[in-house]
Parts: sequence; C-alpha cells; structure tokens
Amino acid sequence: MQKTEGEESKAENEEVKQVTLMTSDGVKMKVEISIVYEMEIVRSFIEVNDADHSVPFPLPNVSSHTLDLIIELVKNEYDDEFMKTFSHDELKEVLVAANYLNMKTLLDFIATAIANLLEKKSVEFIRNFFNIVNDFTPEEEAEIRKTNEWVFQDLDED
Amino acid sequence: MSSSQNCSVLPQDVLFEILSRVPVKDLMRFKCVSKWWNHLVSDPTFVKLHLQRSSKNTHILLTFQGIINQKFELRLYALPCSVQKLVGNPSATVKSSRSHRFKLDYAVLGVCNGLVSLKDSYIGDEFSDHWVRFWNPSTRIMSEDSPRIRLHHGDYKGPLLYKFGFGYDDRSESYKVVVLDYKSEKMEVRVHCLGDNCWRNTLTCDVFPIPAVCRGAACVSGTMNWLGLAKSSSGYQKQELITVKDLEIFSYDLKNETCSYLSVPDGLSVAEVHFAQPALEVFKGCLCLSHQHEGQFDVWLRREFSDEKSWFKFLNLSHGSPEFSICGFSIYIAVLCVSENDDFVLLANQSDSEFILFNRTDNRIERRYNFKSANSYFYSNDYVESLVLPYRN
Repeated sequence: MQKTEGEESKAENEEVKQVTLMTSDGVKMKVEISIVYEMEIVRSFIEVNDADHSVPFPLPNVSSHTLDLIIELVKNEYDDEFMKTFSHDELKEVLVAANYLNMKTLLDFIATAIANLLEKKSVEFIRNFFNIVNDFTPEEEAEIRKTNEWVFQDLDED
Repeated sequence: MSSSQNCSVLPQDVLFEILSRVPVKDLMRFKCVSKWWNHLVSDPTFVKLHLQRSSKNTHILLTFQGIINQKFELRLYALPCSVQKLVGNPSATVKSSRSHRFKLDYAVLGVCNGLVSLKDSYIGDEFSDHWVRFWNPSTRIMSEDSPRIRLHHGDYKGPLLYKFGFGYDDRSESYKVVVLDYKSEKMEVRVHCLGDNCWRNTLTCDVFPIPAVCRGAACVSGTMNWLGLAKSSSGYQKQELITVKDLEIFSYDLKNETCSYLSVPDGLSVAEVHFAQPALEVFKGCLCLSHQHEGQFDVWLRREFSDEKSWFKFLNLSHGSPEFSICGFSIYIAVLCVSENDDFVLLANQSDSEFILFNRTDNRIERRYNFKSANSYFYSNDYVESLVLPYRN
C-alpha cells in the first residue's frame, strides 16, 4: 500500500492503526485502517461514529476466506498474477463482496477481469459460469441463434 | 429490468458491473443464454451504462468507395476498425477486414455513439425526396426508412444546395438528422428525431452559404457545425475564389434550436482557396479544420468547443502532391485517425491513392502505403462500439 508522508511518520511512533472486522463465519480479523478505508461502507460508519476500533465491525455478507483474498489483493496493489490464481467461485465472491463493501477500485478491477474472461466464450460456458438455467424452448433458442449467426464465429474452446 | 429473472447467483447490479465491460459481439451471442440475457442488450439502463464504459477514441468508422466487379460498379463501403490496427498497417487492415457494402446512393451523414445515419434520395427535375436509416454496425441492426422530406430545387440560388447532418443531443438524449434548406432569401432548419414520423421546421435564419461538396456536419457538444462563408462575404454568388478570411462556422444548437457563428483559427494562412477546400470534421471529440494550400496540408483542432481561443495547429505537412480537381471538386487529403498518444496521424491522400502515416513528434512522414486505386474517397468518423438501438424502444 502507498502511504502518505504523515502516515509513515506516525507508523514509526505507534503501531499501525487497525480495525477489527467480524466475517460471516464468525472470524474476527484485524485489518490495517488504510485497507479498511477503501471499504466505503465501513469507512463511513467509522467516520460518523468515531467508533471504538476494538469492537468488531460485522460483515454478515463476507466470509473470512473472501476477506483474506481482498486484503491480499489490496496489499499487492491489484496484482493480475495473484488474481489469476483465483477459482471462478472466488472471483464471483470477491466481486459480490466488493460491491457490498463499496470498494470502487476493487470492483472495477474484478469486473474487468471477469469481463475479459467471458470474451469469446460459448453460451454454454456462460450458463455454467453463472449457474443459469436455460428458460428458452429449443425452438426459441434456435431462432435467436439464426438471426445472429455472425456472433458464433471464432470462439474459444470451453 | 424486465420481470424475467436473471436466474443467476449474482444480483443484477453486480451482473451489470461485469456485462457493461463485455464487447458488443459477445453480448449479442449471450442473448441465447436465457430470456433475461436476451432482453439485456435492449434494456435502456444497461445500454447507457455499456456506452459509458465503452472505450472512446479507439475506433473509427472508415468509409470509402470501391469497385466490386469487372463492370466497374461502385459500392459504398463502411468499416469499423481499431485505430491501433489502422495506424499499424492501414493497407492490411482495409484489405483483411470485413466491411459492410451499400449501394452508392447512400450517404453517411455522420456517426454518434456508434450509431450511423445513412441517407438515400430520389432526385427529380423539380424536387428531390430524401429519407434516412439508422444503423448500428456493432449489433448489425438497421432501422426502417424515416419519413421522406421533399426539397424543391427552384428554391436554390447559384451553387447553394441543401445540407444534411446527423447529431446527438445529450441533454434530451435524442438522435437528430438536421437539414439546412435554402428558401429564397432565408434558410430553414428542419429536424427529424430518431423514432418520430415527421420533419419539424425549427428555425428560420439568414442564409449561410456552405460549399457544395461539404461532407456533412461536425457534431460536438450537442451542436451541429458547418463551415461556410461569413455574412460579409459575397464570394459564393460570383462563384469565384475566396480567401480563408471569408470563412465562418455555422453552429446549430440541437437542444435550444438556435444558431450561432464561430470563428475559424486566427492563424489560418490567408491564401486564396477554392470554395470546396477546407473541411470541418470531428476528431477525438474536437472540432477539426483541415486545409490544403500550395503543397501544404494544415490541420487545426479546437480543444475546447466553447473557447474560440483554443484553436491550435495540430499538424502541418508538406506533401508535394500537385493540386488537382475533378469537375471543380478538389480531391484533397483526409485525416483518418490519430494514435492514442497523438504522436501519429494517418491521412488518406486521395489523389495519389496512398495512406500517409505522419509522425507528429518528429514532424515528418513516417511511411507511405499505397491502396488499391479501385478504392477512393476515404473518410472517417469517430466510432464507438455500442448497443444503441437504431429505433425507439
């Protein structure tokens, strides 16, 4: 993480300020305040209430595993190589959490990564990726395919 | 969005975050995923979000005429292409890409938010009828014909002729085709909004003479702009050479339906020019004035539309080509695109059938590429891949 000069000099004198977050699976995690400040939902609460940072802030929609991934991503300054180690489920969980926590930079980063992943993929790949049930009749689907045949060329293997 | 469920583990706003970053061609394929996905590409909120996220200034729509067979029949070609590829190798990009072909009667009036306006016409002895279609090359969806507008030839004096243009009014979020119609001593501005079934007369003002071969209007910041002669000039009536001092820009405000007059760059050299020569276009969202004179080719950009002092000379090229004209129409050089960092400019030298890659950093010609002499009249418009519908939803 990039730190401003003020933060750095403070860090020399005292421990880095931390906020305790409580994840959906009941794990208490101490997180550096610079990372917590990227989470608009937590930041606005802390700023308004000047809360006691030792009382855990509850995140009922974020698991400890997902929070771990988010912290690592932010610490690594959104490293592409690190993100490439994520499973599809992890990508989706981080995206949903980024949206819930209102982390704008992370949301943009992950949404762009998933969008890139979907390029040139087949319809079947998309259904699997998002767990979507096809609600078309075979005739309806064939009709839509027929009117847009040109978009089914040069696809990647699933 | 519609009542059909997105049937996914992800909530809709999160799906929108992803899908607004997916290219149009892929989204058109994903229409087959489910009913929700089929409706997505025409959902107004999603279309708008996708347009906002589409990368700007990375693509152009290239148009040119080409011979299609042994009988030398000509067609109009339209080709959306990436600026990066075009600057890298223009000949290969034009050759290899799949361009769309139209009959030659069509004229491209302009491109806004990835939507192209094509005009067709019937020219009679006493009058002409005109109608337009809207076309999105990314989704390959074309609208029906608009209602016709009839223009009477008897109304035109000297070399004056009606002028069409296509623009987008971002304040009312509507696409508009504008025609300047000369009526004896006055000029009428008539407007067709995409989806309407009429042409409205919106403004009557003093005649503003515009060169006969002007390609169309330049649409910037909700205004349509044409280059023509200042009121003080009388050059057009005598059909004689004028100087660039006589030039002015007629600017029509699409929202307020008013007009104003803008000045051309102060530093424009005061050479005598043929009525047809300087061209007004849009590049990277800026008004762009290009001008060929005495073996020189100058391009000026107006960095801020509202600031007349923001004109600056973007490039000067000594091309060494002799000037010539056919039937009084000058065949001149057209700016096709500018690289991302503004370092390279690709030009089409229509008279020598060559693309010129100009290096702005070193102020020299980097490379020349010949194109097939069967192709001609290369022009370009700013283009963006979008889902914008060519009809009213």
